[in-house]
Amino acid sequence: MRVVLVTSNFPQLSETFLVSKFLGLLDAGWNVHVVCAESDPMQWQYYALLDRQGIRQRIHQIWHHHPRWLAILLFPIVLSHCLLFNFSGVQRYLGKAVKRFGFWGALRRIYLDAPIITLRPDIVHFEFGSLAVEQADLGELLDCEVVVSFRGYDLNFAGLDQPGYYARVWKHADALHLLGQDLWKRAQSRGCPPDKLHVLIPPALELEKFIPKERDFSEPLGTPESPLRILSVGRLEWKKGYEYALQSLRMLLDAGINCRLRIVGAGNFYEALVFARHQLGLKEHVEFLGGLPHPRVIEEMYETDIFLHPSLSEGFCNAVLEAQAMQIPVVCTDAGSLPENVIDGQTGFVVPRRDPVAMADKMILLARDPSLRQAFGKAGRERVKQNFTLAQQLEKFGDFYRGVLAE
Amino acid sequence: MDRKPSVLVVGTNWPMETFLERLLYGLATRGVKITLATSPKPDMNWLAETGIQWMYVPVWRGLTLGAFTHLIFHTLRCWLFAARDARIFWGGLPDVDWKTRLSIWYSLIPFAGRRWDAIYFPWNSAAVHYLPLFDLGMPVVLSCRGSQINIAPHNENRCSFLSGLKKTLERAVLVHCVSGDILQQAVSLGLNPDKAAMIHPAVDTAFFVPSSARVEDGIFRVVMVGSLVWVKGYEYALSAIHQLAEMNVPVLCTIVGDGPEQSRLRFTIEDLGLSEKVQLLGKRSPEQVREILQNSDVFLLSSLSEGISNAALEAMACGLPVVTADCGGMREAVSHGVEGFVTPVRDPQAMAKVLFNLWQRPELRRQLGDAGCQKVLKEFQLNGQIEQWLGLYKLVFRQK
Repeated sequence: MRVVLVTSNFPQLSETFLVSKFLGLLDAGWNVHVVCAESDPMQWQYYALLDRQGIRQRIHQIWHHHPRWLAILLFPIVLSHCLLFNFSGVQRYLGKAVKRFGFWGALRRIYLDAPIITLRPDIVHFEFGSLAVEQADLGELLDCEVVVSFRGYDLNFAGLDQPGYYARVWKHADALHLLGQDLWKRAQSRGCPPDKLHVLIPPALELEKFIPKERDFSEPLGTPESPLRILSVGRLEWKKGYEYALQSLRMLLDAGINCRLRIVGAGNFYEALVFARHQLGLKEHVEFLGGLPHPRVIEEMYETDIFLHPSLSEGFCNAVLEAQAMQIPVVCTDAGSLPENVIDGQTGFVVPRRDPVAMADKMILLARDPSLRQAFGKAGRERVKQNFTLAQQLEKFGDFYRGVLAE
Repeated sequence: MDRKPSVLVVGTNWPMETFLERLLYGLATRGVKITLATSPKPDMNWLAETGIQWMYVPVWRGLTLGAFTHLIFHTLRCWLFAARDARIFWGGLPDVDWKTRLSIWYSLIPFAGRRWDAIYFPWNSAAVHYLPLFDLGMPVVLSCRGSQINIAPHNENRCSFLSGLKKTLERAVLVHCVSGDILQQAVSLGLNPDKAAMIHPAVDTAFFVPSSARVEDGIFRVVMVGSLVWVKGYEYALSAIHQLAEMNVPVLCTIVGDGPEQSRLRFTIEDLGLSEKVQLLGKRSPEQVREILQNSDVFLLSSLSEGISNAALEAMACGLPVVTADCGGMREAVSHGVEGFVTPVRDPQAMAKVLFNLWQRPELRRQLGDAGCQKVLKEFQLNGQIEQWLGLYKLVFRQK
């Protein structure tokens, strides 16, 4: 069975999960290809695994459609390439597409869909909802199944100002994949029929890559000698709610808890956060590390006592999962599916969004109680082991794909 | 001086901010010859009415045919008639990549070989961009208004801006600051206090007036005016409105303004369940803003940083009590308990508390509103401001 995963940029640091999924499905015996709009050579260096033999041939970039004259020049080559690999498929595709979009529209579409058509897929899986908006009807044109994933941004923000933005996806997609219950609710509130075939598969991680170090839990933290070390990981955007994290840090310091916060991630909210750091007098206590490759993030986690995730809007959040795997107690907000990710009072604390006081209270609690930190950490890793391993996730995807094909 | 003194104004856009438009208008009608250098062409009627001259300065958008012609024509013109200026410009270009250098050169050459009695930069960023103009020997006046003084310097990724900013503060003959707070910040960046002058912004009190037309309908109307940017701290204001709604106050918050954070506001309104309580109106004309102010009960300013808010002053002129976050020069306009209330920055609870108080006490609202109106009439008058500016320019012209 041939599965084509469609994404915008591959491979990409912030979307490591796609690389894991791609390689994992290959190992499980699926015939998987990736079609992407961009592939940045700089990003390949982080993924030694992708250097395996025969992998690069499975990653296809779509044809350039800017500038337009280049697309026009390339068109005959693209079309004959398609015909060479999938003659009957192209005939069928054009027949249906011309009826639907008119002659020129069909030519435009075939140019965009060319890499997928050439691959003769059984399943086309759009890894983000917003990617499927234009192409959701591909299933009927190509006689294949179309699966669409929703991961957060796509349901929380994309097209909110356009009613019916996802109407075509709800209509044409054969099945949906969502990361959690919260997203499924949002999909329904955005018009998805409740009886739509869907599956909830949370993100997963390779537990072997997250080996926590032994820690000393003998004394409370937050003293001048041993400050409470807090870590946050996520792009510097307003929706990550870092301003509230900085406010809660100020409260910790005012309560006499010595602490420091490191934030991994880059983004356009940097100036606002640097200003907040200045305004709250946190220059000595908050450090922005910029974007870091994954091994460096893990190193940071070794040096961390609490993982803080102050988000205002979230899909499921891999970073929080990783922190639990590293036996770090988590303090996070109740945004998106975070309450499904962290069990409040067992693997961490879930506090209301935009509430620095609650955030600070829970961190003080953790700082003062070493055994609580230890217990949360242990429970966190156990939870990941039970529910969020890559092997389990791949098995679920396998079952899901088989189910979709059987429908 | 027997002829009219001339001033070149560089770095504004068109349409211009109302306060700048009024300032230039005031100066022009009181005998200053103003040349306005902008890229878009200003309204011809406005130019004719004010007697302000317009000069075209191009903005670099890559090497188009038009840009190429402009570049060749002016470079030749410089070389033939203003070789000295051209040499000065060339030598004054910052040490950056050649593309940026070319774009700065491109916007500088129209000024070569021309002279005014003074140059005025209404924004710090413009002064930094046009730094080589300082070398032509004309006295330079610049304004410090807000974020470029109290936010940008903290961002170490903008160290080249910071070093440019320090140079402009050092080399200007006169630096205008919109508030005492901004003046202090500028001094901490190296400005010599002897050449600093604080002139508060002014409100056209003939235009922004209180109105008795407000119909009492039982709804507590809170209004906010300002561009939708993070500095304005709208999220904290929305949290405060949320708390008011929780306390069963029949509140309606109106936000006037446009900007990059619209989707953030929309998300927050939705997330806090405030769709019925908050309306985003987008950008509105001054007439519409006046009408909205006149039909509101309280003006709310949740900013994290300000020079001094023109919008708040306009609201005061319309007789509204102001609830403002304690930032920048806002305390110079609003004293706690006199013209409104001052709450700590990033503190929705405090904001909600004073709003609740104001909701309960219409009499207090009236009293604070009257005090605000009086304060603006006394200290933030347009005529007074223009006289102060004329005084400053006379000093500059005399020095020359």
